[in-house]
Amino acid sequence: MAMLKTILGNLLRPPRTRDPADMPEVPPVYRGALAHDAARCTACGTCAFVCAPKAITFTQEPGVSVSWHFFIGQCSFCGLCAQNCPTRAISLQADAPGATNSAAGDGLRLESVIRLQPCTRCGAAHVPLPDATIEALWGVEEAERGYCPECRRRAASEKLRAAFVPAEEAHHDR
Amino acid sequence: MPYSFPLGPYHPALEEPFKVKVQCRGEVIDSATVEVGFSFRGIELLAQKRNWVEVITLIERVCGICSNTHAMTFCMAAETIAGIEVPKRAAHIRTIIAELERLHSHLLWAGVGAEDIGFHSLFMEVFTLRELVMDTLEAISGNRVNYGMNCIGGVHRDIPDPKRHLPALDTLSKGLAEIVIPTFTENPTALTRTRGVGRLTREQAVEWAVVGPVARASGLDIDVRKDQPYLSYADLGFESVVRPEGDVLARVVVRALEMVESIRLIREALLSLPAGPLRATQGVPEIPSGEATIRTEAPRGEAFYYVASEGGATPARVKIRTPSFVNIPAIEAMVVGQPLADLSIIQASVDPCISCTDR
Amino acid sequence: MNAVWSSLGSYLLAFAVWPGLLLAAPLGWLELWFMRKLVARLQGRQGPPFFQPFFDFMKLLGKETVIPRGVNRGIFLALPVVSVAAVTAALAIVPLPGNPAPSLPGDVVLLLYLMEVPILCEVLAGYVSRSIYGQVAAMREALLSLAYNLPFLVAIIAMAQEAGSFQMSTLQAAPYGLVHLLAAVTFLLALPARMKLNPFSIANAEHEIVADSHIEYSGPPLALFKLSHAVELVLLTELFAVVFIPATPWPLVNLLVYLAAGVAVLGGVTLLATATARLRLTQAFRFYWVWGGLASAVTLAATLVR
Repeated sequence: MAMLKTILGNLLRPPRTRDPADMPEVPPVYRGALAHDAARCTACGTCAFVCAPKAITFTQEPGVSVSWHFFIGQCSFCGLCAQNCPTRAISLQADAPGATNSAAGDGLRLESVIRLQPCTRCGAAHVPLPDATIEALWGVEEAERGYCPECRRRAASEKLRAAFVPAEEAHHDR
Repeated sequence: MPYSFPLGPYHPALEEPFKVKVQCRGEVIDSATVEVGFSFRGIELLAQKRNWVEVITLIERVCGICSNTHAMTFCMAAETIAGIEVPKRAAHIRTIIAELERLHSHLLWAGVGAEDIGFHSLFMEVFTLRELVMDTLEAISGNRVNYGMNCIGGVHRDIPDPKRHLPALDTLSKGLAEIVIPTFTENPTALTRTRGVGRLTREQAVEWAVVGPVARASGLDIDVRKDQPYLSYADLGFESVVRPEGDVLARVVVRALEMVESIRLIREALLSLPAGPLRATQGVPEIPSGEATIRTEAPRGEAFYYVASEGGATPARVKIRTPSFVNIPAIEAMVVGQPLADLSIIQASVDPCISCTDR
Repeated sequence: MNAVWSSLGSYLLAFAVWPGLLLAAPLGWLELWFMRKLVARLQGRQGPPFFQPFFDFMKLLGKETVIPRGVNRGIFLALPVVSVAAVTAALAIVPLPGNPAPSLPGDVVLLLYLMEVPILCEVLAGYVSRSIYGQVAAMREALLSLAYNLPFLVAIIAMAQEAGSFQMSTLQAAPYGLVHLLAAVTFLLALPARMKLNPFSIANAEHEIVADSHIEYSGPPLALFKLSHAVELVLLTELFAVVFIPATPWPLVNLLVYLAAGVAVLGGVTLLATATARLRLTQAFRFYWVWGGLASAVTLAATLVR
């Protein structure tokens, strides 16, 4: 009898019951609590676009800031926001998300404020890009760090133009 | 004196809410009616309001047990419309996840079946084995359920070290061969509860149009993996398991041998994982207008998807027909003339998945 | 007059203290814990802590009693009390070492009657509950008792025939022989069904009929039913020990041997319960009427042959 052999064998082995302390190792791909890094966020809205249960939303205070909101009660932990974030501002942590509010009242709702900065050239308020993104997209020109997208495009096209058209000729054209 | 006996919607023998109401005479069942719809969520309508990225997360939640089947079938339908060819590696990974899911679903069923015939020790052994599958799935996908592996055009995650998962498969096939299969087929008390119980003849199986293991246990050799190979099944080779008896024991045996076949498929797929990209497309997919129907073999049988696109940001129509939807009514045919004591194991032998059925 | 008072006092003592309620209840909980722990270890689990059956009882005592609408309140509440009183009275008759109650002629018959009372209470509890599940459980319990009572009663009656008396102390002191062995096997055959354990846990098959016949019971009445079951365990195991285990002249040794025998019997039926699935009512019936009947016939034949 297979069962009799099995159960008598169980009697000789230590129980399979696990203590909370010897939890199995969390795999690296585990999709746990959400974390958001405001310094990397460009408020592009991709996360809100791919979020099926609409747990992520954006609000803005024109000219001052853009806020990223997350409500854990709506989250389904599919991980699409982290996978699709172009600047890796969203990451899913290895620890399980809290089931209740902490004493400080945070945990269930996350909010991070992305302050708009005035453009160092024209003064228009804009979402600052993280350094890595600037490097990847625009190269490193120290003076252009604080430009708004409009000025950046302008600066880029000017550079392009300068590369094709010699400076004196350009001057003559004007 | 005839009386009516309700099994469900809340009952220890059920994993999910549905109701079998039987008319009994003494301990013998005269007739039965099945009621479903207790966990209806309107996913088909919701799917029309979600864009092509979000909708996969939604579709995955049709079912908690065979979640991957739904997401995968939906993605296959969208890929058919858009004419995207899935990379070989992605197809292999999809196959591995699908078969792991079948393993854990069949093991879950074996545990519930053991519990329904009052065999608690077998339940414990089966669920210990199932934990191995769950751990493997968690190691690959990061989650125990709702793996989130599929995207239109491929898969989200790689299996970086396929050989790492082989020891678990070895333990599993050992456990199946030494504990689960012998106990179900040799333990006298387990046999008396399953042999000749809840019979569905071949003719009845055709009449009630059952699919999956229930059909194969009644001698109908239908399996989408064999009849219309998709993903990597043609490469890996697949043999379906068919039994002619049509009783609960036959359903147990079919599922048990299918698990053995699944382990073989997973092992071969892990060992022959081809190199290459995981996705055929990047970024948000664009699905042109068109429509597609896709059939896949879910753990419980044939899952059918119809997806239509009008070229917009969301699907125009998603129609889901799950295997349990056609298997559950067959309970009415199986229980007639059977003792009331067997009602719970007969309804469980169909492996009814209510979330799937209700959507 | 004094003699009447003192014998009444000794019965009261036997009923209330030893082997009655005060000591049988902890012993019953101990046996329950042993069974649960053994089942858990056989299934590879850790199992409950030592005091768990006691905790369960205390917790139930603190719960609200809900009486279903349309149920006769008096009967509903009286059943568990009658059940506990009957098994305790039955246990008080068993001549365990140190039992202050004297053994009377014919007390075996009284014992057998008292042992039927808890079953009757369960059947009634199922029927008065007005729940279809409780009623099916009651029907199963009643039918099953017809099945297992054949070997159960025959085992005891054969021993009485062997000893030539319906007095417990004579049964206990009967010279050891073949009939002891055969009757013990017959008794053990009936035990799993009597204890409602697998493969005969048909009347309390939660996956078929949600719960046992006290499905509508809650709070203290349910606690009393559970207590009755715990005392019944002691009664059955100790009855087996007293009747079938040869006694030594030393009471203390006897007590230890009886307790050990009781635990061993429990271990055996628990092992059987863990290694089997639940049978159907008809299968259990067939088992008891064929194999139980056969064992009964052989046992009775052995008593007559001598």
